[in-house]
Amino acid sequence: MSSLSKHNRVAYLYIAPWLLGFVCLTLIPFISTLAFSFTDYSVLRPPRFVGLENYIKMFTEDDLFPKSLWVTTKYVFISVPLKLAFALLVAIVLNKKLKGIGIYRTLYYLPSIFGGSVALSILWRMLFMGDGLINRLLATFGLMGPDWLGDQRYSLITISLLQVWQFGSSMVLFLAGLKQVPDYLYDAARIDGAGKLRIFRSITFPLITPIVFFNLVMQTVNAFQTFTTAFVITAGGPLHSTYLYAILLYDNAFKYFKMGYASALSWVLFVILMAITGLLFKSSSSWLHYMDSEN
Amino acid sequence: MIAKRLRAASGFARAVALVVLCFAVAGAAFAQASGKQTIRLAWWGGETRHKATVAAAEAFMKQYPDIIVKTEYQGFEGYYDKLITQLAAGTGPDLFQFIIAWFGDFQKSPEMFADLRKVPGLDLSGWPQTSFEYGTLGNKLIGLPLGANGRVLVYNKTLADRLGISIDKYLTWETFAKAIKAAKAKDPSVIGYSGTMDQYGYPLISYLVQKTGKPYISQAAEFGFTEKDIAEGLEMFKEWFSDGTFQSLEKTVLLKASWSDPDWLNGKVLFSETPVTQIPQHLNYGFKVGFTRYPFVEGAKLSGVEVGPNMMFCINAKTKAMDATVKLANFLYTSPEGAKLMALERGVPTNKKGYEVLVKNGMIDDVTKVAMKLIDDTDTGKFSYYDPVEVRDLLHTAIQQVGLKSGGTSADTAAKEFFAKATKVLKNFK
Repeated sequence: MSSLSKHNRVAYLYIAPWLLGFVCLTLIPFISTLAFSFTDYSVLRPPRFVGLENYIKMFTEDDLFPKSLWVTTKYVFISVPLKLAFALLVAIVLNKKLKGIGIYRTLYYLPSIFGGSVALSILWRMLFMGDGLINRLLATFGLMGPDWLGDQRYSLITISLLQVWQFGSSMVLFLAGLKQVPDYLYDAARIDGAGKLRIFRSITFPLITPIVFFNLVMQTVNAFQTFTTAFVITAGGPLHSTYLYAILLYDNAFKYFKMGYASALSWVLFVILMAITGLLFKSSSSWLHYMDSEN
Repeated sequence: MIAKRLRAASGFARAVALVVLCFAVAGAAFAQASGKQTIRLAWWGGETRHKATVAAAEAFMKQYPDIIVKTEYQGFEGYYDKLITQLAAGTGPDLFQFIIAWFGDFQKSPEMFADLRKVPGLDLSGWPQTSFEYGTLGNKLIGLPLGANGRVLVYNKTLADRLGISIDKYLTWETFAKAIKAAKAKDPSVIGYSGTMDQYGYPLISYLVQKTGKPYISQAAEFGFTEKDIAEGLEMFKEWFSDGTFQSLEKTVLLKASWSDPDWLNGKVLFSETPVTQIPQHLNYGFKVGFTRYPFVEGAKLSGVEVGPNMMFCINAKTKAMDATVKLANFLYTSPEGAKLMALERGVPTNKKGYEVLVKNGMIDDVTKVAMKLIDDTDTGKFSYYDPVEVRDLLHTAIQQVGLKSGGTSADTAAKEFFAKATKVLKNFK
């Protein structure tokens, strides 16, 4: 017993730095926001308890709340499927036994190392501005491109593409999944006369569904929380066409100093994400295949 | 065996913790023993202001070797969010740059600022009486203005000369529109006016204030104009966006500065606008520029233009080094050496002593003199008692609704939406 407790003490000592960071920077703020969500808190004055007022205001008065939720939902529906499809396509290509494949894999992963950084967002802005590189390229073919970012009909799609471009981490997972599919299944299918598409539909895809599921959950959660790219490129404009939920949250917290309201917004987002993740888990039993269960 | 390894691991972890602790204690003791005081100076600005202020802080440290000044500077965007969060958390800078437009947020909590009248040793000489009026919140002097500022129109003189258009010194809204129409008649590719969202917002506010003769937002936190007034203003803007008097909003809606509009840089735009402190930015184009007063509604009593020494310095009430902070403030804002180093980076110094140093050294150039004259011509009194960011955002939305080709909203609807929402925001300031 005493040896076990000593075991534990040493283990806790080792994880102490992480634990400290988790408690101070995640757990306490997490719980605090729940408490703040029931207050009117402007940072400059002490919080004042207002009960459910912030939540009521959100659903009855603030028309930017449903608007930003709708914009974010569209953003998720555009960017996540595109990103996963693109990542899978590249992973299939990189799964081939080609000369110098290691270099290709590294090159394709590069955009993800840059991530959704400020520098990359600025670059994106410059590429898609009215007189940016994209429109200049189109002009060489005699085409006149629109104002990709300034026109609200194209702005959301344009910033979604940046999310798609960061497909590297999903691609690496898909690649690992593809490598796990046993060759004998492909051999057997080929002997039975199956074509490439049939092989993909009946063997490859079902066997990588656990990876698809993992990527789908992670990318959906990430996309719902996207901030930097939209904030730097368009700041939510024009006319709130790229006003993602995280920008609404930021504006209320750090621009208008409505910390109580922003906390309530963050808890609603948390509940939405939990519900979506729950739904994905529930639906997974009907389309998820594990290799063991196949055997 | 396992127990032995565990003991070794435990010992190692403790040793690491002890070493970390020793370094921390030694570091703190060293700072204390050196007897130096560290204070923080924060401001926003562009590259030239950064360079000048850093040089002034370095000169101060040479003069006061026992004080270390940590400079914290950045662009305007995000400065206020950071500052307010730091002040609320009790970790704000000791001396910092501020603007009068932010006063409204601190109406109910001025305790974060030191009362400059009561700060021992602070040199209050040389500031004109109006400075004390500008910097007072409630009964407390929370800031002192650094330099004269105001907004003016800037125009492409080379283009105007080429087209044979003369720009009046005192434009009205009619002559402003006429000048653009005349330019477009001679060269249809000319764009009349281009700017950022703020640079469409300021003229609209100015128009409304001139029209009504009342400040944008009154002391009682109410608009000086009606829903009908703003609907008329938006209708005028809508027309100007559609007939090319204004640059296509799709092209400029995301711009951070008017001078980043490629059409302006390529000499196709006739007018834009600027605060006078940024006039130096406009002197290095491939064309000549001129400056003129904002357009006026004929017979207007108020200009509706933000004119005055809006940039000020404040001292954090919670500073642990008030003496050192006061020394730095005196050096930067009233000493001859500080005034020389800071030059015109925050406008023509409001403090008489600083101003005289610059005059004596021939540091006030002709362009600045012209700008100062324009400010004098424009200044007709307080343009607003509040300027909340949220209301400004709502105004920008209304302009986008009528200005964007895909906005598809009538001026009446945009005005109605703006008025209802903004009035609700203003309730928080009552």
